[in-house]
Amino acid sequence: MTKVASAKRTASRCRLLALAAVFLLPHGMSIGTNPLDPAELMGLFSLIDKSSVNFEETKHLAALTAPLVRRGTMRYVRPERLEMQVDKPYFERLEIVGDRLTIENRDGKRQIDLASQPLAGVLVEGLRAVLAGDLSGVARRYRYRFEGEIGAWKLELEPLDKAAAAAVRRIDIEGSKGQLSRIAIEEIQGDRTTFVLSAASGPAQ
Amino acid sequence: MNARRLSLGIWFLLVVLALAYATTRLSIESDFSVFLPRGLNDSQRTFLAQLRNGAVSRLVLIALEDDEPQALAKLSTAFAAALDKDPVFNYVNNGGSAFAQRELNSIAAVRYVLSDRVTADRFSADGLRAALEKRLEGLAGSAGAFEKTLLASDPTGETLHVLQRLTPDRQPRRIDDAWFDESGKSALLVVETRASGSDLAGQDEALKRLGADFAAVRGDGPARMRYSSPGAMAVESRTLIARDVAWLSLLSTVLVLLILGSVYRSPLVVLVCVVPAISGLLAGIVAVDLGFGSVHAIALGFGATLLGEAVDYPSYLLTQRRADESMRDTLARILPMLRLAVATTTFGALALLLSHFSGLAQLGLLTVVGVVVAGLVTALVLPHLIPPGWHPRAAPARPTRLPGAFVGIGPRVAIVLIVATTVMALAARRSWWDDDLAHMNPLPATVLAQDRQLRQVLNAPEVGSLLVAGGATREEALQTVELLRPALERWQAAGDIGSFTLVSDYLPSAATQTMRRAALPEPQRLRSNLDTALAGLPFRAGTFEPFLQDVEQARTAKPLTPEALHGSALGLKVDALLSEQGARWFAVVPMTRVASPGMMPGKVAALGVPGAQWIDLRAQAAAMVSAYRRQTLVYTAIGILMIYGALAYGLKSWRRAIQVLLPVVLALALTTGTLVASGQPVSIFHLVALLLTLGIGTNYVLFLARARQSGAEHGGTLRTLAVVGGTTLCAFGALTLSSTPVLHAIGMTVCLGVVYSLLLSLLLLWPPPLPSTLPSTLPSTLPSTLPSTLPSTSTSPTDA
Repeated sequence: MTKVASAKRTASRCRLLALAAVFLLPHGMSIGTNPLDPAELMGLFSLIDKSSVNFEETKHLAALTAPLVRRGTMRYVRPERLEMQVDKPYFERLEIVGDRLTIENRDGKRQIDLASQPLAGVLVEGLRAVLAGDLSGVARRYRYRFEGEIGAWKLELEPLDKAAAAAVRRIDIEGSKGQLSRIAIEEIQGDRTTFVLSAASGPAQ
Repeated sequence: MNARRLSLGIWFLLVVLALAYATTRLSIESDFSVFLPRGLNDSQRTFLAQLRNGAVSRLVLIALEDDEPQALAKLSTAFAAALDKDPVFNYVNNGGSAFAQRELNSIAAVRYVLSDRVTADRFSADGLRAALEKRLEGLAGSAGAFEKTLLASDPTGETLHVLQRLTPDRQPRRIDDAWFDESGKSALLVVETRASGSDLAGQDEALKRLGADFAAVRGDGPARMRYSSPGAMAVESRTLIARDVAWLSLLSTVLVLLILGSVYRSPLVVLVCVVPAISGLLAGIVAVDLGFGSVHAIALGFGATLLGEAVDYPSYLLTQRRADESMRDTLARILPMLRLAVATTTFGALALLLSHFSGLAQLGLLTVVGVVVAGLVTALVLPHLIPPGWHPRAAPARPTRLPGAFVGIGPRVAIVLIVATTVMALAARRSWWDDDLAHMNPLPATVLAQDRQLRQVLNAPEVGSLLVAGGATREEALQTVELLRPALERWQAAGDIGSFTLVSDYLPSAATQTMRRAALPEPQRLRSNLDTALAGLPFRAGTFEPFLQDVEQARTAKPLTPEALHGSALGLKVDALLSEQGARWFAVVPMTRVASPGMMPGKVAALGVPGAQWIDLRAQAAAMVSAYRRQTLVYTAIGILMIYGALAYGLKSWRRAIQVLLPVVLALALTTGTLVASGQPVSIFHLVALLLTLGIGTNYVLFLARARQSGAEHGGTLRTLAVVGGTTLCAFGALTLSSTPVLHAIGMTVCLGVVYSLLLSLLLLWPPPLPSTLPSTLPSTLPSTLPSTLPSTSTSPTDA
């Protein structure tokens, strides 16, 4: 008898979300000033082909008295490649190419079909839409709201998919022009994960 | 007149009784497996039990197609929910998260008994510290969300560990929370029926429910369902067999009636002709039902063709009636020959009764009883039913010329025929024997291919081979299985096998359970170990209270038994993999992707684990069938000897018995040769058919020899042969149209055998050779040289 797939499917929901969100990468372009025009912001993203960024992830969990902190780098290559490598405190690498998610850690390497994970799929696809500068793609997956002006904006996303909405309350993305500075994911149960992003030390590959 | 009333009365009474029995008590079965041999030794019995009842036989693999993937996924989810509620199914899975969660829960409940990592070390302060640090890493990592849900009750991660061990390495791809094939065009589901694979009525019911549930969830959408399972295949082959039997018996009956009608030109006489056959068939069916508890549809279908043989009896009588003769006189003239005909066919079929295939034994009993009753009815009842004034039409003159042209060259033609067939059969360079049960499966190749494809995609165990671990008790069998794990892991790592399923992963042996329970610390100890381990780690106080409770519960729980697991996914596995047969317990270990099955028996034996052995179902089945085939070959030889004895007794001459038997035995050889030459190796069913042909063919030669000896008219003799041969050919010819290999094999063999028997008996015995044309150089063993001393007439009345 074929056994049920690992219930781990839910495992990487938030992680994937964060990963994808983080690829709203900082960018040096500077066009126009306030007030914020979503179409204009999306236009900025649509010009980004590839980039790399450092991150510091802070996770606040109800069961823990102290947050969990991880550091590493992320890469985006248009149109569908996302990578996240954790360097500290433990090595872990996530790579999404198309619908394939590969997770590599000290225990080995696993491949997961994103289509098999409706939640993760919705999040990744939605955020890839943001990265691609595809506003209608974002609207298909999230209720969204822009705040601020182009020099200091905030995008609030609430998932429309039922499974996703059952796990994630909202995602806040902050940035300045085409540069992302912070991504915060708030879960239904109250746990929070925040990514603070800074330009990579080396040039984007 | 009194005798007439008496015999008619008795016959009528018996027919009424038999009819009453047949309509009220008769049970007909179509399960193909009665044509599978009963197992001989323990491992063969395990194989048969696994084939008939095992988990594999209850698995239905389902594919939903012909719609958009999203729609199919939705449909799959609704379908799975409907099947899950349906009591005819034990287990349902479409890859959906609800089913995953359910399995996870059932594993979590017994994790400390199932996990092989449960040792005293793991629950010491150091062990717990290591586990907690690992949890922190996990919480931060990509599986963090999942880790979070299990953290409080299972900080050592046993649930996940057990789950990973029980989850096969390969999974179908998933779209929208449902399994799909690689192309993404078919949504896949697996269900297990409550009914065992051999319970065809239960399987039938389950498949009907499957169809109804699907229709209900599909509504008027375009999606289509395909499914495959051993049970479905058995049901389907049963349907095929039943359909075949129904229309083929109808066809052969109509053909036989047409021939009789054209010969006798009297509906009443035609009806009378069928009386012995129908009586015999009825008696045969009742006898089989009484003897075996039920009648198999194949035996019934074959029984219907008994018409072909039994219809011959009245034909011998009626076509031989002379214009100036009373029915009684004709009967007196024919009776010795009729008696011998019945005796030879009976002896031919008697050997079948000894067969270990209950299906074949049924055929044998049906034939023996049917033929004897048909003979009795022909001799005792028939003369009273024929209208006194009725006579057969005068025999046509023409046929005498045809064989006349062969005068004297018959034996030479026969020799040429035999030599040619032998050469062709040898030149075919194929195996003469076909012992593969799969070739006897009536299902079309496309059905089998579909099954293979679904099985592969869903990673379902192959039905072809399995590892079996036996023991005197359940505990012993489980311990044996536990011993196998290291070797299986080694083979898996080496790529020799894909995944494997060990029943001890679902139900560890009592010894292992006790060991694991003993490793769990008492509450105070565990709490202090945990406190020590938690020092300096950022876990909130009180987080692990559920863990402390769960461990204490597991430590003091009653041992896990199959009964306790009943009704859960784990229990299903145990029921399916562990069984008691006779006084022994057997655990089967299904595997996928066995690289070289041929090597496995040696590898398993080399492990030196007592009670463990590799069973190759296909090879096993072939070995069994080949044993039965050899057995049947012996029966055939015995049949020939018995027929020879009967002939020698009836003809009061050993020599004349040879003379009669030789053309038939040669015809059998020719039939076999022709089958082999045409690329059809001989299966056990062909052998059985040969045995039947022996009986039928002997009748022809017997009749021909008698006609010749008694100086019968050529025209009349040939006409009789044409009628009896024609009806037999029609009855068995209809069988050759069957898609059921067993029926096809019997039909083909009997038809060939009948044609060869007629041909050879004509070539060797017809017409009576004139001394001047008798070639003196012919080998003296050929029968054509023998009858020259018998009184014979070389002219028929119509020639005059």
